[in-house]
Amino acid sequence: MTLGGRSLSRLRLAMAAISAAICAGAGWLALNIDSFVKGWAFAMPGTTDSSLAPATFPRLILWLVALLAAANLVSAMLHPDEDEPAQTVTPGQTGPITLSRVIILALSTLAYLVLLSRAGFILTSIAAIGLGALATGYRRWVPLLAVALLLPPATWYAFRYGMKVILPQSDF
Amino acid sequence: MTDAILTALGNVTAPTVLLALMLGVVVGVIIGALPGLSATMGMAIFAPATFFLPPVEGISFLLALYKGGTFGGSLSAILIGTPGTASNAATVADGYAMTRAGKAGRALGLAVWGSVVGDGIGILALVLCAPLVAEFALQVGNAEKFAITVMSLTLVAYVSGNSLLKGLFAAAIGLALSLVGTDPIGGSPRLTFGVRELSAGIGVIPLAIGLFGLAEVLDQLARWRPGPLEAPRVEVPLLRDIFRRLWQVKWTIGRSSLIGAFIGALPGIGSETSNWVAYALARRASKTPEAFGKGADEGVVAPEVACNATCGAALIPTLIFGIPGDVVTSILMGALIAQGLQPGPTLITDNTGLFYTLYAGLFVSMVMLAFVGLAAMRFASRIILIPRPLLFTAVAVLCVTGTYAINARLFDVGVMVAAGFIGWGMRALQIPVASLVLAFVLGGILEDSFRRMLIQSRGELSPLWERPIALAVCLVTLAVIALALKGTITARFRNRAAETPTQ
Repeated sequence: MTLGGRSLSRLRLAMAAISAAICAGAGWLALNIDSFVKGWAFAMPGTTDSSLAPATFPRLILWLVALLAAANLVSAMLHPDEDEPAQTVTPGQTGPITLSRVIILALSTLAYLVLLSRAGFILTSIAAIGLGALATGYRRWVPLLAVALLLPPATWYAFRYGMKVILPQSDF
Repeated sequence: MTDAILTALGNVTAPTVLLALMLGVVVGVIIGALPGLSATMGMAIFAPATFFLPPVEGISFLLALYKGGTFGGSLSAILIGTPGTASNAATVADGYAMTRAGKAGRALGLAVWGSVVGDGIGILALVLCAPLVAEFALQVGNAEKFAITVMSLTLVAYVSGNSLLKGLFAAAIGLALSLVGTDPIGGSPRLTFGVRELSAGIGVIPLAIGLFGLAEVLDQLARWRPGPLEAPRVEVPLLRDIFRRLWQVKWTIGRSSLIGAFIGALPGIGSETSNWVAYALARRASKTPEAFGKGADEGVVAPEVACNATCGAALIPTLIFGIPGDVVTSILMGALIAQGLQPGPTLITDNTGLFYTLYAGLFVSMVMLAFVGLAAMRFASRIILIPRPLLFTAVAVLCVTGTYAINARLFDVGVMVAAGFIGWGMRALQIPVASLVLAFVLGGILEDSFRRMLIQSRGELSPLWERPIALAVCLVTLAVIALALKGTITARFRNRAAETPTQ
């Protein structure tokens, strides 16, 4: 399966933008690393070599990130598009990724995170499984209700009594 | 030693250990068989649950899951032409061709027994080599450890995808993420940006669950559409026929086992590579290379033997050097550390009983794999039909619970979700996720050995060329880089040459 030329160009642009952002961020961090690395390594006998300072290794790695991000940026701008890699989606049940679905997934994940600490694990997960499956177009009610209503409570009790971990509980 | 072996046999025949092994194999096979779910994802999701089990049961479960998952991927590769895991990608060509020709049972039979044979050889490689390598590892200093880690990172980037640059880029980001937390030498906080929860660093398990688990869930849910899905009929073949066919390709089995074990023993690369190498060499050595891709027995046996032989051998660098053999063993390493077992040359001497128990557990799970594999032949087509939306939303819930269970902190869940979206984006941009995770794990080892080497040599890099083992490893690393650059340049010239006539 290959995406259209327009989508691939968008991917290249995205790669270029992300590489540029990472390059700038890593470069800035490398330049200001002393502000983010506290303390000084205990004095080494007979040396005050700066290569032993605690900021040296992080600085080296951050410069490496900046350098490779810059190289990636150049590569994304210059090189021709590549084919999309093979996906592991079951044949016969595959469609293109649409912006609306990406937004739905992002918002529902965010909502899950926010609600998890308030509504608790069981209620939030029942809603997530039910609405998540419905949003993708799944309409078989019996298996959907069975999984949505049984899995979260079963998981909660397995963690509570099997591993002695209390998953987030509802405020209500 | 005899006492240790007897203790190990006693331990491994305990009902709880046998149950853990059986559960591991079954869960692994199911996870591997489902397209999109992989052994890596399974290990990441289930690793936190094992922290609450005794070490023998917990590690046995994960090892069995690793093996089951590696084999399970062949089921969907053969039945629907979609590999359950990257380790079985090479099986698709001939396995699926057999299914289309109505010989799915034969392909599955070859895959089951090929996997069992490969698995056994991988375990033998571990049992025979681990003590020798441990002796050698005790002589390894910081310079050698640093050189080996750099070599692993190079190999990771080299084999991680189509682009060496993207592999290196992902590895560098993994290294940068490993910096967050506490300075390993001075103990002071760094790059925490005032976030208290980051002072202990980013956990490898939340990161792996996000990058492999949630990212896959998001990708699958984004692409799924309602549609027909029919599973092929599987006629279970006669064992005699399968063994006869395996005997006919015995040289392929031998060669693929050695390739799998060798690649597994190399730090940083695993079965995603060995299955392709074994397939390519089997084709080259075959008397009928034209049959490959059309349902050749060797085309199924070679990759399956190799990827399973890699499993056992990948434990050598993981357990002895503390340098993961592949991305799955990097998660296993995290689980070992959580159990209070520090991988390294002293692990084998300080925990001889546990080590022998793990060996015995690996052999027992090999036998279990044969039985579960045979049963899976009958049920695989039904496993594959589990509705994706239900499955993946349920997996998303397990990603959350698995992450939360580690420290009972919602912060970790946030890290996992962020990693999930980053992983999804990386897949879209074809940046290899495995490189990032492996480099993240290797980052701590790299920094620790690098800084200790500098401290010992008073800021000099000279131990890298003054110590023979370190020098040899550095030369191998340079050779890998040269090879990668040569490959990249040759491919580019070839592409240009191919484009020229059309222009």
